[in-house]
Amino acid sequence: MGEQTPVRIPKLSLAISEAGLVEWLVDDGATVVEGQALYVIETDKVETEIEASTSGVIHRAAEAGETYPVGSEIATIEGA
Amino acid sequence: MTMDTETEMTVREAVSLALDQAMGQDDRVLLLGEDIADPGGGVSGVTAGLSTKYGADRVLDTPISEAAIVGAAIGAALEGMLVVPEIMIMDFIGIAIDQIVNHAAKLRYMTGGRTSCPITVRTAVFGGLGSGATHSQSLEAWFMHIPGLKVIVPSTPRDAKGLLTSAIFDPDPCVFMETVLTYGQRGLVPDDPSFSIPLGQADVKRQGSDVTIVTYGRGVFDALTVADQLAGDGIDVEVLDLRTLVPLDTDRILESVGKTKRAVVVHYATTFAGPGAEVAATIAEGLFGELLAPVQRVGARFTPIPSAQELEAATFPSVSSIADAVRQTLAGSHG
Amino acid sequence: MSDPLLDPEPVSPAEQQHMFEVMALAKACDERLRKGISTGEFLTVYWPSRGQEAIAAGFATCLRSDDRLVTTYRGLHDLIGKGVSLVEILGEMLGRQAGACGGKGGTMHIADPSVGLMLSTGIVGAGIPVAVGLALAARAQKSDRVVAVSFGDGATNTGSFHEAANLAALWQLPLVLVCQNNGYAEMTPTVDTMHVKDIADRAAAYNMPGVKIDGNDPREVHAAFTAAVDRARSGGGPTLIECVTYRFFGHFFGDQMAYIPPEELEAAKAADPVVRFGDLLVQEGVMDRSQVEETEERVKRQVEEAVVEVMASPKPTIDALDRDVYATTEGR
Repeated sequence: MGEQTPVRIPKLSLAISEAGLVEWLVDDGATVVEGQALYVIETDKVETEIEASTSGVIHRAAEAGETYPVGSEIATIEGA
Repeated sequence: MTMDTETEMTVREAVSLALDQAMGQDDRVLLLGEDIADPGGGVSGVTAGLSTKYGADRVLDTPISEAAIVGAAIGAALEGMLVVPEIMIMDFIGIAIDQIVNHAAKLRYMTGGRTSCPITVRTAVFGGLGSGATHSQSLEAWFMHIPGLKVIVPSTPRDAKGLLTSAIFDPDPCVFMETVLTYGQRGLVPDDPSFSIPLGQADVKRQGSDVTIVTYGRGVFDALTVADQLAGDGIDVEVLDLRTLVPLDTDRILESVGKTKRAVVVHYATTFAGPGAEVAATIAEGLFGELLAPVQRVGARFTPIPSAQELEAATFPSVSSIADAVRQTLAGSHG
Repeated sequence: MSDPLLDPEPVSPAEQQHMFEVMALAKACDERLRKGISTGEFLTVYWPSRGQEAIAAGFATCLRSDDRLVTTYRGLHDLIGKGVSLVEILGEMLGRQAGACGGKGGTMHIADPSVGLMLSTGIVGAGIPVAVGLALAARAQKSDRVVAVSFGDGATNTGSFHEAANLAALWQLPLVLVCQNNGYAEMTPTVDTMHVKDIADRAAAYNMPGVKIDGNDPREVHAAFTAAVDRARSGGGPTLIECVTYRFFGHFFGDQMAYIPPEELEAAKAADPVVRFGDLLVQEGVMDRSQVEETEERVKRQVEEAVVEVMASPKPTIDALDRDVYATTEGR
């Protein structure tokens, strides 16, 4: 098992404290590369694609359609 | 004149003496303010003679620029100078409040101790002179509310000299609140130039056993007058002079009221949300169940301060309103 | 007497390379921060100074190490220019003990007096009066050090700016007032916030020299800063320098920039001062392309090394909460 990098809901703006996870763009267990769009979040009616900070296998841990506080871990990426 | 002699002087002279001695002892001390240099020597004459003695580059007359006066004081303090900016009338402090609250109070904390602001903001309350609402306020409660500041309100000449000396050399930012109507109060001040009073120590100005008047500044003189009057009626009043509001001498408050079981808090700031509210809550928390009466507060009425003499007098505490409060406290007692 | 702006002293090749390196480092640090924040790797607030790097290059080459700098919450480039370490900057932004202030101050309040960075403030305009005081102390302490203060176009509308400028001029203090005019005060175009055409013209109100320059041209910045610092250091009083520049990412990171015309933003990005200066240095033979690329790689590595060190640094412990409210813990 490789190094696990957490994937956290980003603080995309000054006043944001939570975000809606609109949809996943990759399947659970998929291999992803750094910079690849992983999921879409919604804050203040604005949707943003969030990219991977590193490459590896993604293990999803959150549901589309739910709202999560900024900083919550919604997945991990397992490096080689 | 030896080191343990004393001289009688007014509060004004005591403040002036503290500034003079601090400047004489330490080149780091710098004064800034409007009209503080000679020949004016300040609107109340407190800084008279200092610019002549120490030079115009240590007693700096400034334009009417409260934000820059205090901001500049902070900047110079960051370089290790001991700066005493003056805000002529306390009602003007709002113009400088951003620098006091967002810089002076917070820089030590926000920089993890790398920088700090040893400034002493001297200011004066002009209440009781008919000047009207924008030239009469006692705003010490604003500054008690800001962590990182120290708030000092002296009463007697001895306390004024001792506390100001401590404030000037204190490494933390201090707000030192003078009151024009007490500038003329006389008292003995030690001649020793190093005489100072540590901050955070309240002082029993009159021992008593029936009730404690907890007060500070101008209220101390009223309280002592009330105590003398009520002594004739067999009521023994203890007068506790807080001297500093931050740090607040909670131990002394609880010790005194723990003894008398009754407290009346007196100040010239508005009663509602005033410093007395903090004192009353402190007493309630520490002595609940032991008190013989609820804590009473006698402060200024909840109105802007009117100018007409009778109205203004009715806004503020008076010897008779304080005496009434003391009597009520005793009448409402359970013991 | 020649005008230092029309006929500047040539900036040495070594200094030009140093300026490019500072700009490249600020750019690299900004890019790494934005990547980290946008992926959720970093949890912090950030007011990007991307686009304003040439001004920082001026601080890096025109100020002595004991000269002072006061900056703002949009100060990443200024901090780098003055020599605050990457670990301390990033550590503070990411709330770690390795941060300049142990994590207590955050992005907006980084200070490092050891390199003369005396104050970063979150209150627009409030640093300028403090800078006046720093300059006053320099004189009182009989030092020839100079104070520079960075602020934005919006700050020149605050009362604090006017009070401080007046005092600096009245007392002829050793102060350099650097206005980083990036065209917007928060979300409002600068032209909609003032009736004067050029901020530099405001200096005349205080009988102080005022000059407007292309803040994206490091050589113009160098010439103007040198002249102002020399004037201040020799007792000639303060100068207001309006550096016209542009910010690429709005007011705060995450700003949707709905108020910025897209073509204006694209034009600014196409004229990226860091890229442009690198190209110019290659064109003039001051550096060759491989040196430019090597510099860019080196600064990226420096940033990454700092990130690794910061992420390994512990967060502040709870006992830090009550520390440094006063000089002593009993002070309360």
